[in-house]
This record gives sequence, C-alpha cells and structure tokens, in this order.
Amino acid sequence: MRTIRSQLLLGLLGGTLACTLVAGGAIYFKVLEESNELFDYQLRQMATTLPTTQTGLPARHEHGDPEEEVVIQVWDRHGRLGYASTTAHVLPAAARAGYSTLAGDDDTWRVYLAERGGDRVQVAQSVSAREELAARLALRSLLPFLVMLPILGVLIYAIVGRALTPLTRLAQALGRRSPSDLQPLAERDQPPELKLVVAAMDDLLLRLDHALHSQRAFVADAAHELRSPLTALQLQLQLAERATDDLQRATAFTKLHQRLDRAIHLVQQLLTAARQEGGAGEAAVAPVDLLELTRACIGERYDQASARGIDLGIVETEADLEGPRLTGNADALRILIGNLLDNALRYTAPGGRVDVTVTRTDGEIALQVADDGIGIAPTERERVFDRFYRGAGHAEWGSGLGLSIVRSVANAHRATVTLDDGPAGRGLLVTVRFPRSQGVVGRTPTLPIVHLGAP
Amino acid sequence: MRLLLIEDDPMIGDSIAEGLRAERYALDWVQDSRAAQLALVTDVYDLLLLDLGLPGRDGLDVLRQYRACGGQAPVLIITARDSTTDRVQGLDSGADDYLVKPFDLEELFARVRALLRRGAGRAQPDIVHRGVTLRLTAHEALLDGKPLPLSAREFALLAVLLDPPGRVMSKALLEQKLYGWNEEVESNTVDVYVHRLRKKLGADFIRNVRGVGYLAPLSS
Repeated sequence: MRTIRSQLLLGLLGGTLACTLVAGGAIYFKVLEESNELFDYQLRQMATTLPTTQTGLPARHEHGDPEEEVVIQVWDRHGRLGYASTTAHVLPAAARAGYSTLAGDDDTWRVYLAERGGDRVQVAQSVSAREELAARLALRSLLPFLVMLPILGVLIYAIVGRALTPLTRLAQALGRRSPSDLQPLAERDQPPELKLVVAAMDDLLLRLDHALHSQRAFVADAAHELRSPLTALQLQLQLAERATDDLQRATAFTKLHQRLDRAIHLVQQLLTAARQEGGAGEAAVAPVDLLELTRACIGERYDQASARGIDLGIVETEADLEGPRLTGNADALRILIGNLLDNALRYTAPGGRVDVTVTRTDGEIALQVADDGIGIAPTERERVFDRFYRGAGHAEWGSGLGLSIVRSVANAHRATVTLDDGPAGRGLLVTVRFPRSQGVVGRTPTLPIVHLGAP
Repeated sequence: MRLLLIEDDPMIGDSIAEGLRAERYALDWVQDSRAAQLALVTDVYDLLLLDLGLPGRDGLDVLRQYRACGGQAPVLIITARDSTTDRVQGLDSGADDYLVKPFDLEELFARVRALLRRGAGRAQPDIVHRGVTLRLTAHEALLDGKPLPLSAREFALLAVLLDPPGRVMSKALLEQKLYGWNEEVESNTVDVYVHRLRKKLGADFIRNVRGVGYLAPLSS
C-alpha cells in the first residue's frame, strides 16, 4: 500500500491537473464561440461594405497570416470571377446568400455571400485558423496554473508530512516499548483523529495488562500449589526408600501412589482451569442433552462411588423432562458435572448418598447435585469459588480448583451456580441454572468494554 | 524427645510424622491452629514443626502467641512460602529455622537434630557423658568406645536424661517426652527402662530423687 503522503500528493496533484485541463477545455470552447460570433460579424461587414469596383478592392497577395487571412471573391452578374484576394485558395461560390460553411480542398471555410446589384461578394475565413486562435488563448490562460503545479506538489508534500508527525511519534513510542510495558500511551498532544486510535490502544493495553497480570498470578499460584503434592510425593518416596521390610515397603508404595494421584489430579485440574479460562469453551458449541451427559458422568463414577458405599444416582423426574437440551460445549459441561460429582463423592462419608436431578421449568434447565456430606459453612460459600481456596475442617485433599472451574464453565454458558444446605439440612446442594434462551456461548468479558465516543 | 507437628496437609503431615517417628521421636500431629494451641497449653514439647498456611488462623499467629506465652521450644517453620520477606517475618516472629517445601527428609531430620542440640545448649552433635557417647544421627550408643546395645526406648530415655545432664525430671515429664498421644503408656514403664539402663551403665549413672524423679548426675 502506498504511503498516505504519496496518496495525498498524487491524488491532489492529479485532481488539480484534471481540473485545470477541464477548465482549459471550457475556456477553449467559450473563446471559440465568442470569436465565431465576432468573426462572422466581421465577414458580413466586409461583404456588405466592400466596394465592388476593381480599384476599391485590396490588392492581391499570395500569402499572409492565415489567421488574419480573409479570402474575398467577387463574381459579376454573369457568374465570372471578377476578383479574388488570393490565388492560394480558390473557393466556389456559396449556394445561397448569407452564412454558410464550405469544404475547401484542405480546409473548411466559413463564408458570407452578399448579393449586391448583380454582383456577388463572398468573404471567407478558415475555420482551423479560428480554432487555433481559440486554443492559443485557452492555453495562455492556463499557463499560470500549470506553472503552479510543481509548487503545489512541494507544498502538499510538506504539509502532509507535518500533519503526519504525531503518527510517526506514536509509532516510535510503541516501537521503543518492551513487551512487558503495558502502561497507557499517555500521548496527550494528538490531533482528534489520532486521539481515537490512542484511546482505543490504551484501552486494549489496559485489558492486556489485566489479562497478563491474572495470567501471571495464575502461574505463580499454580507453581505454589504444586509444592504441596510434590512435597508429599518426595517425602513418601524417601520413606519408601528407607523401608526395612516388605510390609513397610508395600504400605509406603500404596501411599506413594496416592500422592502421585494427587499430583496428577492437580496438574489435570490446572490444565482444565487454564483451558476453561483461556476461552476453550467457545469452541464446539452444539445442542447438548444435559440429562444424557449427566447419566454418562455418573456411569463413569459408579465404581468409585460403590467402592465407598455411596449411593450415587439420578432422582427420577417426570417423563416429559427427557432430554432437556441446551446449547453449549459438551466437553466443558462434562467437566462441570464431573467436578460437582467428584466433590460430592469426596466430601460424603462412606455409606452416604449423592442425588442428582435435572429439571426444566419455564424453559430454564437446572442441574442439582445434593450430598449428605460435611457441607460448606454459609460464610465460606462465596470463597470456595476462589482459585486454590480450600475449606477448613476436613482432611480431604483437593486441588482447590474444582468449583473455580465449575464457575468458569457456568459463566461461559451464562449459567449461575448457587450453594445451599443439603435436603436434610446436612451436606451441600449445588444448583446450576442454565437460562431459558441460550445465546451464543462465549467467554464473558472480564473487563467492561470502553465505548469510544466522538472526540 | 517430644515434637509437635502443625501441618494441615494430610499427606505431607502423614509422611513427616511417619519419618520422625521412625527416627524415634515422640510426635503429636495437629492439623489446625486451634488444635495446635490446645496441644501447646496441655503438653510440653522439645520442638515445634510449624506449617504457615493453616486453615483458620495463620501459622505465624500460633507462633507469636506461643512465644508471647513464654514458650521456649525451638520452632522450625515448614512452608511453601519462599520469599525473603516471608522468611524474615517467620524468623522475626520467633522461629529458629525455616524450611521451604518441597524439602528432603534427611535435611528435615538434620535440622531437627540441630535445633534440639541448640535447645539443650550443646554444640557437639554427639552427647557425651561419663564414658557414654550417644550418636544421635546414627542412633548408636557407645560405652567407653565399645558398642552399647540399647533398645529404641532406652536410647530415647537416655538421650532425654543426658541432654543436658544434671536435671531432675519427673516420671510424668519423662513419659511425656517418650510417648506421643496415641501411644499406649504402661504403668511403671519409665521405672522399667531406668532399671534396664542402670543394669547396663551402673547403678549410680541414673539416680532417683525420692518423690521428685530421676536425674543423670554430672559426676559420681
């Protein structure tokens, strides 16, 4: 693409040149028209006033200024050519009296024929001579403009260059920045057009800065959180190495496996969290049968639940609730349901009960997971959604990411997550409500979008 | 030697406890700050292992309160917080050492030994008293340079009495230092071990102060 400067230069100069040429054409035709009238009048005057006697007529001449040249011919009553002002051009007599245009051998002639008492006087003038005159006049009036064109070009070049300096300055300011420097540009002295760009860029930088900060915080938190399972793993490995008999060693290895599972679980949850927050939920949006998906998730956890004697199942609802569909990302929703089920199973004592319901009322679809485990104190119910927050008062280990991921997926589906006491006043009831009309699933903006008004 | 471990992570706590018990320390493990405060009021410990990121109250609060109430035992902070500020704050709040997770079990043991040694006012790694040498790192006992076979409890009791020697200690205190909460303490158990040690080291190595307790006198 051409530079703005050359675009403006070529455009403006070309435009000026075109206008000048059009003006030249107009002047040419106007001059031609006016001079035609004038010359015609002159022809007539000559034809009607010239003396017809031989002596009164101007002397013959062979060559003269073609522009000035007027061919005068006089025929007598017998039609003989009595006089011709030049021998260079011999024109026939016009067919009738008055103005007419005659085609000569090499030119076109404008003629006036006057009948004066039997004699016919014809005065003729070359049309090309007239046109030449008009063209010369038009050109002469345009000349100053054509001389001005290069000067105009230099002026345009300089002014545009000057007007573009703030843009260059902005580019330099951006170019000097390090990738981590996301402070606003703070370019105050900008023309209104650029102010919009700078404001939009500042807004983008601000959002980038926030995103980068939260990413950094996430990475720092993640690294911190990895210490605990790794510490547990390292310590247990060393205990296994120090085991003196087979029984001790077997016990140590069982524990080692548990600790490894925990580390793997945390890494997987970290990956899931990063994916969900990174907007992976935007992909693959399709109609999802929530009930079917829930059944599949429960099926995957049947062994785990039955091993601990926990009664896990779906509470049967009315038949017309078969297949409540919503628009969403099946993988993300599977993670949401899976996390809720895992939490319920983890915090429910052996022999406990976990009930799942999927209901639809007025088009709103609700997923509920109720357990009779230890529950979450009302004061902690908002904080448990924070990343890496773990509730107090239980010996279970977890990544601290489960509910944070649940909320992240729910947000992407414009769903709400609420925590309440379990049905019997014990345990926890988690409700995820998907709204009636599901729009396009996307990431909810974490920052308000700044709308730019006119300057 | 009786240790208190304050650690909320069940797996880390389990492994540390198992490791230290295998090193023949009597160890109690609590998982939150309230239980820690209760334990510190009811029992006397030779060393505290403190995790800072506790649910409820922060570990540093537990430490400050313990020191404010006159607690003298050395405190080793075990935490994932590794910034210089955190270390400085921990040490200035009354801790004696700082260990960042993840750490090596051997290093933990070495630091525990070092802190207990300093707590007893001793610079040498071994306890030497009247011809008896206790090598705490290797759990070996020597009598006049020759190996002295001792059971784990005998070794532990001797270490308590000799570190430092010359203090009269009640039977109840000795029991506390030898047994954690969930270990069964049979009656007369201290008497039995003292009896066995006297047989191996001579009757005057450990003396009975009637109605008060036992001591390992500085000289015969």
